[in-house]
Amino acid sequence: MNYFKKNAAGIAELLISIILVVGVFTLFKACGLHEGKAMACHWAENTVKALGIVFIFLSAIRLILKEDGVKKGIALAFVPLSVLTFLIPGKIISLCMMDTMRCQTSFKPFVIVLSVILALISLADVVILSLGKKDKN
Amino acid sequence: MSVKKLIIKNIIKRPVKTTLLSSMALLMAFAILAGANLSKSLIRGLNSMEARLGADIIVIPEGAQSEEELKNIYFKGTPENFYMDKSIVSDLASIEGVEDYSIQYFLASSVSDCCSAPVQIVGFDPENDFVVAPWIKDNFKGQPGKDEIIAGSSLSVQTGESLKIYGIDCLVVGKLGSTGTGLDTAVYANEETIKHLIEASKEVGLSMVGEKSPDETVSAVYIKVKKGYDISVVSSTININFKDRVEAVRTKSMISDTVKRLDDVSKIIYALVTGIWVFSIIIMGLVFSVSIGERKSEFALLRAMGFSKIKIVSLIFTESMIICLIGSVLGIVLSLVIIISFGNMIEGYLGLPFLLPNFLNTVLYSFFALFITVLTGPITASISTMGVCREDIGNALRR
Repeated sequence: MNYFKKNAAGIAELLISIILVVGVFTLFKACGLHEGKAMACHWAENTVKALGIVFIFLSAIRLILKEDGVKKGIALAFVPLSVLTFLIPGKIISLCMMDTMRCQTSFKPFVIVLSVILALISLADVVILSLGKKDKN
Repeated sequence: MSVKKLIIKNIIKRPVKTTLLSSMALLMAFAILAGANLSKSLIRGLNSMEARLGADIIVIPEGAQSEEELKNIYFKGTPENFYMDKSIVSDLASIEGVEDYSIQYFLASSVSDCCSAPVQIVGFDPENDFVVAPWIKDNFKGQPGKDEIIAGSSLSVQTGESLKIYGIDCLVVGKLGSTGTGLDTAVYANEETIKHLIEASKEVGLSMVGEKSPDETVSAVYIKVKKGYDISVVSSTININFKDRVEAVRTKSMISDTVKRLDDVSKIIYALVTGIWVFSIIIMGLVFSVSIGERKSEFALLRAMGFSKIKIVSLIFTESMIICLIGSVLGIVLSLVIIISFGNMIEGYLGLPFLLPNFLNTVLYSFFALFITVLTGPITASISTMGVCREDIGNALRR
């Protein structure tokens, strides 16, 4: 129970990362190929997939390792990475032109919402870990 | 221990009860706000569509397919192109009861232009138009020139940028406000631009319209009927006089199917919201009665310490209000995030005009959802508490 309490934010980070990757591979994927041609959103989708896998890997490491300093470092790294993920659809990599297209209606809001949640959880994780360290001292 | 501390401790020390009750409040607030936003968005979408049709009758080429294609443009934003001989325009103008008319020419861009989907290009006469021009005036002063276009709100292109259509860089001189209809994905241009685009489409071997130029053909004629004339009579006269050539469609009948579908969807939304609300009240009532039943001795002790029945009820009222407030705020945030972020996706699934409520309405609906949810929980809890308080203190303490 103590492990779950201590790692609640880490577990949430892992779950959100898994949802991000599974979602982008399935229900919330971008437009795909059109007449055999990859559209701009295809590359945004691939980048988010790659980042999502990095998120899963890092959050798993964060749960396995016992050192609070490393956990805090990983949680801290999640913040800019989440912001980067937030900026990918439409800002760093352009999406399709019409707002009614799949990449605009499902892929973009899904990635934005999950990356914001991930950034908030990571920030909370950093704060909790910092406060925990202060209590020990 | 002060009453405030007692309330907070009761909330924290009973995590299962607190989580369950706040989850019910979350569900209730989410359903109320999402339901209100969805139904309002559908009504706004329909009103916007009615306003954008801007005419009493639309005349299109004869054939059931033309009407379907016209609906596709308005409801789904699917680019279509159908044409009829332009000589019909003067014939239509001579029909008794016709006050004014506007003509439009439809063209679809090719997929390869912008690496996404084809765009509907609507050609109109900015000087003599009463359908598109008033709407465009809200967002763009002036008239589009050659190779200049006005873009619908759903196109990710801004004023000053250009859009390549059939190899021609068309300058976006204005961007329209959202209508919640298929027209949001269209671009608007004058006849000169349309002619240039047709020429360009022939040059790149992507001509969809063959030799039919706006000089010889039109796609739709929008008719305004004089006051005192029956629209259906004018529409029937056109259909009888120009049988096998054109088809006159009353704009009201064109959206009648949508009105019916919207009515059905609204009924489902209301039924779902009511169902979730009743379900949440039942679960809340059950949780409160179980939890308050378990706390009989606690209440008896408080009464023995001098707490009045009203004070105990108010204590439970405040406790449940705080729990419901937490749940409702989360429910409202979740509902807003989903409706605002996935509005286009919902529109796609429903296949109906969809225009989100303005900021003020959204705030009002949020407060309404908060008010209903925050009151429902405490009232349910207070009713359960009153029953327990009626019990004799001695009996409760002995147990």
